[in-house]
Amino acid sequence: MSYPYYYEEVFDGITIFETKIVEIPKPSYMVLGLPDAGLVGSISVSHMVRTLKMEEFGGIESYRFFPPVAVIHEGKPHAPIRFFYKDNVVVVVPEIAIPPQAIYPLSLAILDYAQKRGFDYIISITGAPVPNRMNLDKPRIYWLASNDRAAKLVSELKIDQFKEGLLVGPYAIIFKESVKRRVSNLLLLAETFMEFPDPEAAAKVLEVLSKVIGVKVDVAKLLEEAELIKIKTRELMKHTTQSLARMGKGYEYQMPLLYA
Amino acid sequence: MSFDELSRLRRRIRELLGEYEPVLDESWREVAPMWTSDGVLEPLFSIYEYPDHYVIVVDLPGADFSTLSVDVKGRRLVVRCRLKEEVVFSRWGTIQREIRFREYMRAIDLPQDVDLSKFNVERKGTMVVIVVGRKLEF
Repeated sequence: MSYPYYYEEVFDGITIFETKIVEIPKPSYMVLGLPDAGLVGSISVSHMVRTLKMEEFGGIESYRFFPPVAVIHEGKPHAPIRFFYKDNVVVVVPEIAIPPQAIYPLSLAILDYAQKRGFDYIISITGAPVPNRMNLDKPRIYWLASNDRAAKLVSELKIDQFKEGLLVGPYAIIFKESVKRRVSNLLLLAETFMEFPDPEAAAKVLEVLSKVIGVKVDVAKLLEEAELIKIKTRELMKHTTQSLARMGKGYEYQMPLLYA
Repeated sequence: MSFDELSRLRRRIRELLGEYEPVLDESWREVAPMWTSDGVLEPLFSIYEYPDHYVIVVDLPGADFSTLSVDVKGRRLVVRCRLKEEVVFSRWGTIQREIRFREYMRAIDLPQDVDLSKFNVERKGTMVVIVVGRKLEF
């Protein structure tokens, strides 16, 4: 975070800011890696930042909803949720678990910002917790789209649609609001653990994402460093699991009553 | 105060402290680090409950499983395992200096109704799966 801000807006207690003037060419993608089951999204977007050498240009802060955290990098403060970009891809990278009370305002603020910024697509990368993940060599990837335009992104890919189930957390809110506001939101869900970091699931989802956004993200290093990533992300996973339990993430194991 | 009254009071105090112990323990765990400055990492783990057994899954990425030990002392399960190689971070978190991690260690308090006559340890990838029996009548 370097001063001055070129853009700053407060959405119901959530501050979104940009620290440099950045033009994002079309079609533009905003890829969300908020911490969730298996940290699939967070590990994915962190890997993208490193591999694609993406540049930081802003972030999200909230003195009302986030813990009082300053992320220090090279002696300078950074926001708890950071924005990076390269060409037409922006990624949203978290440094903290999202407190349950921040879920609604944060989800709506991200959507408001994405609409104002004119992103063509919001892509949410998340984990679908499955109890038998340990026995699955290759976790499956599912998609869910808020409209036909977003669904078209995966129409050529051989992955299944997430048809029945419950979503819990910020991605659920972003998806529902995207349907309502006619925003193109594509969810990519990887089968994962609820409470253990899962770089292998992140690698699988990145293989799909590469095809969706047309940017090759090499996952070899991610797989090579999987064990080290699991060591480094234990604390974020612990805090995320605590937060997920409080927001009722366990509902995702439940089938909707009408269709069970 | 008679001796009996004193004994009852002591028992009640112990009961009250016992009720709050898990809450206090959980609150502390939320803020406690998962490492020690002398090179020990605390692994992530989960306990799954089934009608007749418990499954405890402990994730040990980077571990040298030939050094794995799983011991039970009373109702306390102690998992230890050395890392394949030292994990070195040049500037680690709050201590801002080099730190080297050499092993995992975690003590897990098992539920009261465990049946330790049924006990099995199995490795799956980076995880250790410990199956412990559960008393049907408790």
